Amino acid sequence: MILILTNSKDETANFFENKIIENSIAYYRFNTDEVIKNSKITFKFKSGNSPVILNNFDFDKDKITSVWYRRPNSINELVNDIEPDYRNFVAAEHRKVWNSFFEEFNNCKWVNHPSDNLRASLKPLQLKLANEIGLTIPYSIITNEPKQAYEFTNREDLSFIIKPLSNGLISASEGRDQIIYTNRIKKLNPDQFESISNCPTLIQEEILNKKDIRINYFEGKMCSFIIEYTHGDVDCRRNNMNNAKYIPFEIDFETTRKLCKLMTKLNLKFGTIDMAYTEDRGLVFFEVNPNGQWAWIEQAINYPISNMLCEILNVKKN
Amino acid sequence: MFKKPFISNFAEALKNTGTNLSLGTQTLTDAKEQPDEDDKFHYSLGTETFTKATGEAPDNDDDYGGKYLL
Repeated sequence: MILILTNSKDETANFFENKIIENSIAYYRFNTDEVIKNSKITFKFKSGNSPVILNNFDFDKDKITSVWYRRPNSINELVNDIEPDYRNFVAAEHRKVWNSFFEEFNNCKWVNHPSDNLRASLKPLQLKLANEIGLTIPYSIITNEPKQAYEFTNREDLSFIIKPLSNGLISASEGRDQIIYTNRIKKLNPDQFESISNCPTLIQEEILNKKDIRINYFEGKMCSFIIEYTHGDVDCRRNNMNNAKYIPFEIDFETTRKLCKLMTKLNLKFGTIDMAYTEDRGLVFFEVNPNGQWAWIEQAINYPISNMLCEILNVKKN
Repeated sequence: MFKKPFISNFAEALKNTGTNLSLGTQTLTDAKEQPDEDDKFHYSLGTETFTKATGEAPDNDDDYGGKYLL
């Protein structure tokens, strides 16, 4: 039985839940924003015995064999009705209890465990491992030293892009949220790099004449697509990916082997991988998204990606 | 005067996602809802206050903040 650990508004969870139903697989959807709010939980301890956990959930936790970790809400959002001074404290107490509850599924298969997601989301680590494994990576620097950034970009033979190390979202006041995509940077003088000292920044050579490749990885199996778009930008997400086309693409054996090795080193059973393909350099690694999006491609071209996720989550009880 | 990061020169308004692509672009709208590095930041601040007040060692297991599970 699959435990879907998510929130009530997650579109991908809605989409996948329907696929699970179509495949007649047993599951329980645990929307943290609803279940935790409305649940009773008690850990009862007696000397010499395992704790008894009492709750009012309508599923048998002993039947769970796998957990799909799909963006559960933070506890922080569940304490809004607590007096402000006490919110952080109450959230922290909740967190200890609920994380302990989810430890009950420690022996299940997690896709992926959030601590693995956290580690695998570190772009410097991704680039380091990819490089060690022998994948081609762009000429890259991550620095908060203006001099390093200037020297790195002060060459005529390459053009450069800049992109965030995290999700790029800037939560601004008055609801004017902003996002930082991948952007080209023009040649700058040393003074213009001064403010890089305020925040570490990733700069890479721009891969020219590329095709964007999105790879969906499911425990050693992959399905890959060229994402074709016409707006000419370096980031295909800009413009909401309007008019993008998705064309199945076969990754060569050697790159497949290296990507499997990378994902194993990152301890990920699932992830989406972004690469570029060029005629002269072949496949160039950009990044791994440990909890990346995939359902929109299935929706766009009816390619059964969700079946691959069903396959790795559908674990039989020993 | 508050400092701005260099990369913020490239920030742009977050557009609302289209309905037909809601599965693909959810990352952008969901990002705020995720227990991301922000939690870690709050916890660092919290721990620092605690340490100053009591002289006790920081509670490192909160370094994962909400990211660990919730």
